[in-house]
Amino acid sequence: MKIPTEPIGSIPRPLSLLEAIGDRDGTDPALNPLYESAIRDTIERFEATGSPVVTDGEQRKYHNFWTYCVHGLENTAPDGFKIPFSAGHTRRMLRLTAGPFRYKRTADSYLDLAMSYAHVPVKQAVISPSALSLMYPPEEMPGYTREQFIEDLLREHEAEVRACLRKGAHKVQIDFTEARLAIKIDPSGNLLQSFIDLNNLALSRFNGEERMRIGVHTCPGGDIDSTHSAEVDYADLLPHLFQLMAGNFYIALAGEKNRLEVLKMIRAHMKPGHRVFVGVVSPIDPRIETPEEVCERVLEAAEYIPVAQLGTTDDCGFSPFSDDTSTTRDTAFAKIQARVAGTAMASELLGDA
Amino acid sequence: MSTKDNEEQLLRSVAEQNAQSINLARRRAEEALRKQSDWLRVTLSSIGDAVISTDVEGRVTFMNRVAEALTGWSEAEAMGRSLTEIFHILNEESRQPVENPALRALSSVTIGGLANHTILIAKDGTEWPIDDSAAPIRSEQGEVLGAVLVFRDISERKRMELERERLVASAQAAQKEAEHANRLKDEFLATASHELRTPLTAVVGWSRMLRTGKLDAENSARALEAIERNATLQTKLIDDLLDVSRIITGKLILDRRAIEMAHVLNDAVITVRPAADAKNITIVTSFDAETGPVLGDANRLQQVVWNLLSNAVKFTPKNGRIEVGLERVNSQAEISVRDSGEGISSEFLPYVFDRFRQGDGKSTRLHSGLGLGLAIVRQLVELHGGTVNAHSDGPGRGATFKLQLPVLSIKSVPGSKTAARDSTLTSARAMDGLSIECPPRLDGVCVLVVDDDSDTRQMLKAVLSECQADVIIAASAAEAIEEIERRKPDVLVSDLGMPEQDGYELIKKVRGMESADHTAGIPALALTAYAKAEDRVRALASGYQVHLSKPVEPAEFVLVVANLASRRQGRDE
Repeated sequence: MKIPTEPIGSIPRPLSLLEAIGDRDGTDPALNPLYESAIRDTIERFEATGSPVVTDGEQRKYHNFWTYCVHGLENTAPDGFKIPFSAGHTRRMLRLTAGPFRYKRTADSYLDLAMSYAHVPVKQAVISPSALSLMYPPEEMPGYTREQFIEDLLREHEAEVRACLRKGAHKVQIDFTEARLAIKIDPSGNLLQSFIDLNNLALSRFNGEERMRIGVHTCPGGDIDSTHSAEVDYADLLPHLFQLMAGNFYIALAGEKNRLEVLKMIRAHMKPGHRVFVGVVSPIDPRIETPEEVCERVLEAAEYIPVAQLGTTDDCGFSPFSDDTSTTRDTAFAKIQARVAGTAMASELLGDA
Repeated sequence: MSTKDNEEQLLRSVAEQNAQSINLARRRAEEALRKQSDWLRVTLSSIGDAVISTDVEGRVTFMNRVAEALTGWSEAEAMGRSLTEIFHILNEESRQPVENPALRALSSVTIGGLANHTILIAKDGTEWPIDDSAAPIRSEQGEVLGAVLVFRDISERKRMELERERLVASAQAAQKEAEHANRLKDEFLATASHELRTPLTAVVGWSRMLRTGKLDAENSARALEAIERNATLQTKLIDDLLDVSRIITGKLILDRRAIEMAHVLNDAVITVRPAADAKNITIVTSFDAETGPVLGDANRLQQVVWNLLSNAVKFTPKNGRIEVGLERVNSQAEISVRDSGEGISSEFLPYVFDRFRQGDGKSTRLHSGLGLGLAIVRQLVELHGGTVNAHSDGPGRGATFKLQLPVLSIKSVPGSKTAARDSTLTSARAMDGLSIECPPRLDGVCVLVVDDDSDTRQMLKAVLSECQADVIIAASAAEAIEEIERRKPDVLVSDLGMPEQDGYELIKKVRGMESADHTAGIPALALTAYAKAEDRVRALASGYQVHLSKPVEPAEFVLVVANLASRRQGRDE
């Protein structure tokens, strides 16, 4: 049986693109040729790795994976929450200043161009409703209740995912990197549970067949070779994570200190019908994994996860925040190539003729 | 508190507040789900098919009303019970238990249906033929949660299928029968063609030889004998065909009178005896004189008996034996004709009275005939309220035909004399005389013969002249009128089908003239090839006293003319 392997999503942007964006609004039409060139190059290099599934490298998410859909909204302010990373820097959320809440853009708009260049299936990452829920300020907004906001948020998210599915996305991956962060902020688990509930409310709007094309990605964050919540034990996360009504789970594993413990937990909590893509390369690790190393990790995972339910992925995007240049494009694709090759080696060893 | 701690606290606060809204949204979603579930339950309860769902252990978790009606279990009773207890099914034919499709769906995790001929045994023992399908119920993650069974009563469908099968079988049988009848008809036509042509061969051949004038006296006599014999044979064949036609169309008219069957049998035996003698067949008769009369048409009953006897002679080899019996059996006169002939196979025996059936239908068959004789026998006997049956122990073991006719409850009824006369006439017709018998001489009787066919005119003139009649001939109705006005004949013999004025118009004019002149009517005989019963009725209604069909036996013809002449004489005296 061939073990599927998929990327998480982001690839470092070409420096020429980053320089061109500079301090400008990323939506400037003058940037379009550069975006297009970056996307074409990304897909070509993706396909050159032998990757059976590709992304556009999130080249047009010109700020980050989190706020791409709300950036530029007039009813937002830049003074939202700060997300501290272990490297000492922070990333800041947008704050909603007035209702109603609407997406400025949806990720399916990126699919059109990517699919025009790709020769293999294209997957699309979207941000989770739980991440965006943090845009509503602590105090109630006059004339726009929190309930109204939640309802609007779910509707916008559903529309975005449906559009991606309709356009032919191989998978729609919901980025849920705040899951582990939620435990760090609220060790009681209540915050995580509310995130799970909110995301399940969104997922419940899709039927079983659709949910088999929807996945959830979790990692401790990866930005400038650092994380925001790696210290949180997976044991506090995974039992809740598998409550999500998704068919696919993309779980960072390569960077974990005790992978076997994590695999045991996955085995204990995954459900029939789940496909678990475990991370076999670590974007924040400057060292490029070898295919043999990847193969070893796949075989290790296969001891705990039925092969029919196993897949491989990257631990995280290679550049979730567009200005992160800590990893080069060459490194990213080299790691991806190792993932693809190592997974194929493992598939063969596990019985793929 | 550090800035970082403040951020996290603030974030926690927002998240907590969001959680309340998320809970609210979740409750709303759950309520919507509950309503959807209720709607689904109502829907399942409303559909026409029976629905039962089970948990993964095969225990009932839901039943709709149709399922309740068919199983005899209420949902409340069935909840939590094993499906095998509620849904008890057997193979309709073997009466053996059938694997429960819902449990199979649980074990194999596949969608499946019942085998054919499955019946559901309801709680009260009622049996329902059913059709069904079952499928596993899966969670979103593919986990099997239970099974759903959908089934329906197919009693009506099975009834329709049986009806359809019956109709198809009936149509096929009808088609087969039609094809068979068509084949029989084809065989019959081939036989009829052959049988009708065979006598013609002798007639045409001998006629041409006679025309050469080179035959000596002995051969000429033989030629005339052959022509006569074959013409008689063909007449019989045509009569048979017409009889069948009359019987089929319901136009056979019986002239019912009290008949002593012993007389009829005697006449028939006399008729066939020459043929029997030719094969040295012994005919033994045993007639109970006290059998009593039957009510029937003497000519037709004669035909029945003659057919049976002719058949017996035909199928009995030389030196054989035929026994003819008559006795009373309860209220029936039973006539039996037993022969020591070829017999009848058991395969053919059931069809021996069918039209166009012959034991040997091949072109090489040994015996000639149309295969109509026995069919006519049965039809005529049944028209007389009687029955006829055949028995044979098989090929080479002879055959026995028995017919039974109801005996009249009175010994004598008016008309029996006429019946006797008819019988005599028939006997005369059947006699094979080389010369014409003229018991009533026609000396001085003036007979006007009208026929557009010269040969017929000349033949009739010769026959009547033989009996010393004074014969006038006319080739048309107009000539006939002239002759009547000029000679006042004693008897008029006229064809019916003639050009310009037919025989109906002729008699109409004749009767008109007589009425105008106040003269006595000329007794008139219609002699015609229009031989159907309705033709006879029309001729008599037109003014003719007697209707005879062509070809006519000279002896019979002379008798009828003499009879008519006597009427004239009687009146004149």
